[in-house]
Amino acid sequence: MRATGILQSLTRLYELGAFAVITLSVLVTKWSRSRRVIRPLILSNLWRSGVRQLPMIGFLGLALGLVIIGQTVALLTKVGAQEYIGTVMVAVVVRELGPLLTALVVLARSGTANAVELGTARALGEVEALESLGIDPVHYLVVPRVVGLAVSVFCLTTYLILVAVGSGYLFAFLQDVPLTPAAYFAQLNDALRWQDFVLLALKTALCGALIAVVNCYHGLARPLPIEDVAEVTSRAVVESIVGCVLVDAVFLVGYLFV
Amino acid sequence: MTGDILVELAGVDVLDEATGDVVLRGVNWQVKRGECWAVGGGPGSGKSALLATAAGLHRPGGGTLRLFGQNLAAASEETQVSWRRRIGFVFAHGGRLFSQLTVAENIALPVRYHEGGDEPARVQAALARAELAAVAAAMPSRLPQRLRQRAALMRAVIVPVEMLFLDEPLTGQSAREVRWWTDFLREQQRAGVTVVATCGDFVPWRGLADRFAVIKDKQLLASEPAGMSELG
Repeated sequence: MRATGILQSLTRLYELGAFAVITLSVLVTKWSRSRRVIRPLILSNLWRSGVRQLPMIGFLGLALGLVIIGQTVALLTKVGAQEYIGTVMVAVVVRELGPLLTALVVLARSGTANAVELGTARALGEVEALESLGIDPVHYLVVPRVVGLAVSVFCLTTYLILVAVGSGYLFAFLQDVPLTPAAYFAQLNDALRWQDFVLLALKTALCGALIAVVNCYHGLARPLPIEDVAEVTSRAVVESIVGCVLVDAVFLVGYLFV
Repeated sequence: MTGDILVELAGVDVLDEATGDVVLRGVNWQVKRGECWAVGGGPGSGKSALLATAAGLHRPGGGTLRLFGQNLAAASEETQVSWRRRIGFVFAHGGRLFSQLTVAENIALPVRYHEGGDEPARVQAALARAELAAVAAAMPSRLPQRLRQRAALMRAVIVPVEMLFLDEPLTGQSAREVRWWTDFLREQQRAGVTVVATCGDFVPWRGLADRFAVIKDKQLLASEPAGMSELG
């Protein structure tokens, strides 16, 4: 029984990998094709997965800054370890919590919607209708979502980090922590390296693309009865979370060498 | 009316896409340019699966399927896409319009995707021809099935096609609607379009179709060009 489960998981992982490769191939080979159709779809996905999430991400950035960063700043100042503030900020917000939290929010708000939409489209035969018109479903349905989510997670993470850094200082200021803005930002500046920006961009874009690919795969991979859409969506969420954590772990190793 | 062979099925097993079961065995069938076929059969007999297979949308379970003289199994993706641009397909029960797009956007999509040209004039003409101008901005879910079916037909033919596959277009339609469809299909025939349609009842197709076939016991029985009397 367990062996069958492992075999099924491996098979699904293989299929998912193949789907990701096909998506990447279509993304590259058809990038400039049918722009009049694909570009509005990308913009629509950016709006839905990115712009519309700004209030939620702003709220989380504020909470992250107040609850975690502000308290850390206050604590470090009390024990006379102010010089580590920048290091802690970069390690906690820029490298770990910021990207992961943003990815999870985008997964909850947009990723699941993608799985439901595509699962329903497949169940209603709309995917076959696209094929009958000579339109590549991966190009029309998956590529805009992958690009939209990859860009959105990167932009939203940057936004969350900025809000968290600002609100963290606000909390410290309200607690009368003896730390000037100049000193605070100087420490952040010292702790950040150029590799942080590169790895942040790669990690967030990869998480966004991964969420899109996993959810689109589950929505499109096989003919789907309408009653299975909910179950498939639930599976897509679990696999997306595991995928994002694994990406995070891989980049954690990367940071060790930076 | 007959000419070169556009679709040829040789010993093809037709599969039910959802279950993978064989619904038709060893189908031998040729559709020639300019013909108009009506394929009848009872509910669940495999008419839709046969149509999708003949159009190259479903892979056959066995045998050889040739479209425009080329074997489907050996055709590249590019070739298959080029075939699909020469074939219009209208699905049954509302035509499977894209639920996220308006009626006008549905009709415009093939032109926008494949040609990228200035399509508004063509879309307006198609909307007018199908008497859909008043509901151009409506979402498909708000329309009755007969209008969705017309929109799906316009979406299928807005890019000029050589063949038109129709899955039960006249089933359950009013007499007025049947008249509209038969008039439109005659126009298509006069323009040289080959038509293949499935039906539950041959009566509306008399006078329009010149070839008939019926599905019985997982077999496709096709008539000679003379007519349908031999099908019983």
